[in-house]
Amino acid sequence: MIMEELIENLKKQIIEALNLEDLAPEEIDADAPLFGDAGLGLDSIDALELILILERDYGIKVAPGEGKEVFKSVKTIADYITAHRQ
Amino acid sequence: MARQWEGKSRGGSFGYKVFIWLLRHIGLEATYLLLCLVVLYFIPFAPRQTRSAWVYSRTILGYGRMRASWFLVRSYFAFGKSIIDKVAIGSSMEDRFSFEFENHRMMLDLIESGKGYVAIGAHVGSWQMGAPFFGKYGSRINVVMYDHERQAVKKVLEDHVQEDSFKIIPIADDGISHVFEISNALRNGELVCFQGDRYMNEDRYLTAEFMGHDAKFPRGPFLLASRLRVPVVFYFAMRERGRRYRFHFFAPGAPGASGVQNDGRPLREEELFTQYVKSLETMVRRYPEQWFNYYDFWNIYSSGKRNS
Repeated sequence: MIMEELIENLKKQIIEALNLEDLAPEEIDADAPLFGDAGLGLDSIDALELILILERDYGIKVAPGEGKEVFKSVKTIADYITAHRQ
Repeated sequence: MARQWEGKSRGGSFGYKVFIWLLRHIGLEATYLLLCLVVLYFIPFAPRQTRSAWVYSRTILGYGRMRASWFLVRSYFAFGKSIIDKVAIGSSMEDRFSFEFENHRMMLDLIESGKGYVAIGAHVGSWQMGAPFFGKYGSRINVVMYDHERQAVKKVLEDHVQEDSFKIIPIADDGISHVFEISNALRNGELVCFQGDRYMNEDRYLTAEFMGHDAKFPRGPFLLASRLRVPVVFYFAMRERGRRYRFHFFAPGAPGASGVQNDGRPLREEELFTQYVKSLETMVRRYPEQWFNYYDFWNIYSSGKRNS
């Protein structure tokens, strides 16, 4: 799967898992922070859903201590998936 | 006044240091005796806590004024004893106490299964009393905690008493880092303990009728256990007469299969929550003086409603 396609898929999965249906995938900036006031403003419970997307849909477990960096933005998640996918 | 818990626990590291010193120099019984003085000090000089305990005894428990006054003394005394006992256990004085377990086999089965699981307790009794027993089975224990003060207390205990048998996962300032730690611990087959009765995030709570009045609880522990599909137990360590602690383990869901329904599916968040509230109420009705949430838990007077 090429990077653009992966990012597009991730955006759709995030919208579905976090019930953000009023948001279109193209409205999510792949480089914008997912957490905090500057970006999507997700919280700890949303973080749990992101962990589950990686585990369930991509078979990837994030290594201890890496979570915060991996889930910085849609792009960083896509990079992590690309680097760790079998 | 904010109704929700504000992230500070009364006492702090100074109080712990005093109790540690007393235990070492004058012994357990004499420390309990000195506690009587501390209780008399607390009633007038901790007005916010005293008010919450008064409203709890009058409105929630329905006590008359005389009984509620005596209840204040008993409640503070029980709270003080829970701190002294915690320090005593940390100082290898287990032989001064006796311990009873209910549903012990179920808990051991969970530990021995090597699966990650969630234990949800509350600020009733003294959950730390159980740490040495869990530790025996080699399962690594993680306790999710809110405030910096508790970490300071933990530091004091580490400096003065034997190494604790649990790790702390602090609720991170960034609001998310602890979720990754919790998830990793569970996936590594470790135990993660939550207190299911205090919430900090105004947007993420669940409401239930508890002790006859509506109350708010944190959503996180129940959602997390349900979404990560891990077994769940509710755990309370309650003090009884004669320095005896009774450990209560409640298994939500099907008998012998904690956290799942009879057909094997994981319990949903709402089901876990409902059963937790029921278990907690059972404990509070049986040990009313060991309810240690000294703030307006039911939002009875903070919002300008009736004060008793």
